[in-house]
Amino acid sequence: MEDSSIIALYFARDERALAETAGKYGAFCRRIADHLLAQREDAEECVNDTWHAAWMRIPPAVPQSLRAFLGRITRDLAISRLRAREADKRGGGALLAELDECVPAAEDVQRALERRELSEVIGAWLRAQTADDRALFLRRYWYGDAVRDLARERGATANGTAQRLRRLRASLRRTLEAKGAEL
Amino acid sequence: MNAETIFAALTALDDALVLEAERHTFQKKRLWPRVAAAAAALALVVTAAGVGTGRIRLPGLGSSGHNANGDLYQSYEGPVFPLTAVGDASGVTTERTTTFDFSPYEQTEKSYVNGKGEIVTYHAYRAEAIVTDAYLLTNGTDVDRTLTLLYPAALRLYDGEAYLPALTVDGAATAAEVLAGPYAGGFTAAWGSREAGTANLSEPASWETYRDLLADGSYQASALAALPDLSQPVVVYRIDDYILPADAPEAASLQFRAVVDDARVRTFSYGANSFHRDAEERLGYGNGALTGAYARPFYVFVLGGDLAGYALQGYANSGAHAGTECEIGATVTRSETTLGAALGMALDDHQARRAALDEDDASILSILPRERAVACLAEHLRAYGVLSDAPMERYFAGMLEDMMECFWVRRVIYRRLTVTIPARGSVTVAAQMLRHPSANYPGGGRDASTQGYDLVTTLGSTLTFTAQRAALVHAEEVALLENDFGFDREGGVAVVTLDPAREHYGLRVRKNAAEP
Repeated sequence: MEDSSIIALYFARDERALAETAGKYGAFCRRIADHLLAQREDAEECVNDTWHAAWMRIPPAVPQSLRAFLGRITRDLAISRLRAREADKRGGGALLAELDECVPAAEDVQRALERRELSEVIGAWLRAQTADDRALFLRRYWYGDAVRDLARERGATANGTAQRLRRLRASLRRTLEAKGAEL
Repeated sequence: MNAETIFAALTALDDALVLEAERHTFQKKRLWPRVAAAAAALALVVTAAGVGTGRIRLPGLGSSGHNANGDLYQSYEGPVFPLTAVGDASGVTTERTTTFDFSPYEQTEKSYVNGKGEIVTYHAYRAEAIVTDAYLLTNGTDVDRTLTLLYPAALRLYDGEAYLPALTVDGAATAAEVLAGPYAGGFTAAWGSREAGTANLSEPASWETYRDLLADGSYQASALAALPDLSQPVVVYRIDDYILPADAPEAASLQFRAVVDDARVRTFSYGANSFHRDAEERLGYGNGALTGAYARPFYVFVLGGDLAGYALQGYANSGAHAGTECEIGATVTRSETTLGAALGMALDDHQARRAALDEDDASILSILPRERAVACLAEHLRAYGVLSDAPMERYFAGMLEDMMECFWVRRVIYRRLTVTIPARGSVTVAAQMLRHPSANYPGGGRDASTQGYDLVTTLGSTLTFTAQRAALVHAEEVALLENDFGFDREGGVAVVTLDPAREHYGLRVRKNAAEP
């Protein structure tokens, strides 16, 4: 079913919207949840919560891309679960540990960049990368794809791919530090 | 700022970046270039020696419909099948020419108005091929021969009409019946489950599945069989005219509850949107759309007997948990009909609702005679649903809405026509259709930038083939990656002779221009 028809079902408050969404985007959201949470039960609950959240948000929201909209909800829900796990000392996930390397050291940079600005800066930085690097970074840190899977797709080794990601994280950190210095 | 802040900022990135990353195909790094070069040289030698005979498979698709990595496509569309005849076709010889026309890949400029009212142009193309499968049938006898011919195609009933083969006889369009075989796949466990199960579809993933399916002729016989007897009596409970108090909760639902203690009795529903069954085999079908424009009746159908009794119960929401009961009334109308009529009513309503959502939906189902569509629904319900002795987990609830999936599943659809070939004369029968390619999903961990098309030479056909050829048209729109056919665009080989003794040929292509 076309996305526009699925969104029409949401607007009609027709519960088939949920079945159609799950049918079309279940695998997509499950993949993100699985990769970010690495625990089946948590991932399944996260995906189910995604359908509930979509039901609550549409309307009034009219997603330009239903795919990205749902992926974004799944990520938001996954981070909440990771946070809860941290609190329970059950481990917060390797991705966050890696992203820690992008965090600028200086406190004033951190204060200067609001989330929205931060998103714009990261977007601009990504656009300045090659298409391969851009995709590599997002596939790892947006979709949570495993390094070994990315390595296979790139026709490279896992070590080489991890090294490439490390360089990208360092590059982003430098960009954020420079941007913070400007503000 | 911490890692979570970065994570959240990434979440807020704009759609274009996120979606682009998902469909991106990496430029492969070349590991061991010397080994690769040696393998390529060897392949060239082997190819030169063997491809003309059709005995050597080129790397990649091989004869299995697999992609270049030897893996199955994540979405396998099925091969182009050959024409076949019902009954005796002796004395008639056949030459076949199959043309793959890649003109749909031509890039065109399109535009849309974005949220700011600006016109944004973009480039698009359709990754599909127009396939023309032409047959020169020659009657070598001294008497006219009238043959009933079948042209099979792997399709879904909800595929658009353009995917249904259109037939011509000596260039003139001809009417041909549409006959649908049963679901071509099976069932498998729920995603991620380590245990066996039947909660998910397991659709045909390679041409061999179709080979096995068509091997003994029983599949084709099912497609050609007379319509099934659907005259079994069915008791219908229609629940409608909901009465809700003024202070009824917004999400109130109504449950129809019954106890079924006779194993011969089967129940199924249409229009209900929840199902409960408790430890005492009490069934409950519920409806949460009770008011406003979307209120609709729901039906409980009983086959093999009747309910000893039933009860209605309102709840504050669709959870229908104890403690959330509320007063809701409804009219329950009991009537008797047949299985065919019950399924026909549900199908008509389902189709009307689909049409209201998407008016341009001209699918193969829309041209399938209604009684055949009802037969498909009944066949799925009897083979896999609650009317089966061993229902699939997927359909445990007995909701006909779930069974409508039978129009989405892959099957072989036949077009049937009759032709008369004059004594010592010939007739050309051609089938033309749009074909979806076999492909991988973007972000699914495999190369999603390429598409596969394949063909089986004689599978399931009773015709005697004296020659088979394949041709490419508008091949400039695609890069030919691997192909078993022996096409060589640079070398000017766009028409090749196939070996009818070889079962399967495949090719893999990629759109020539960069993705928009």
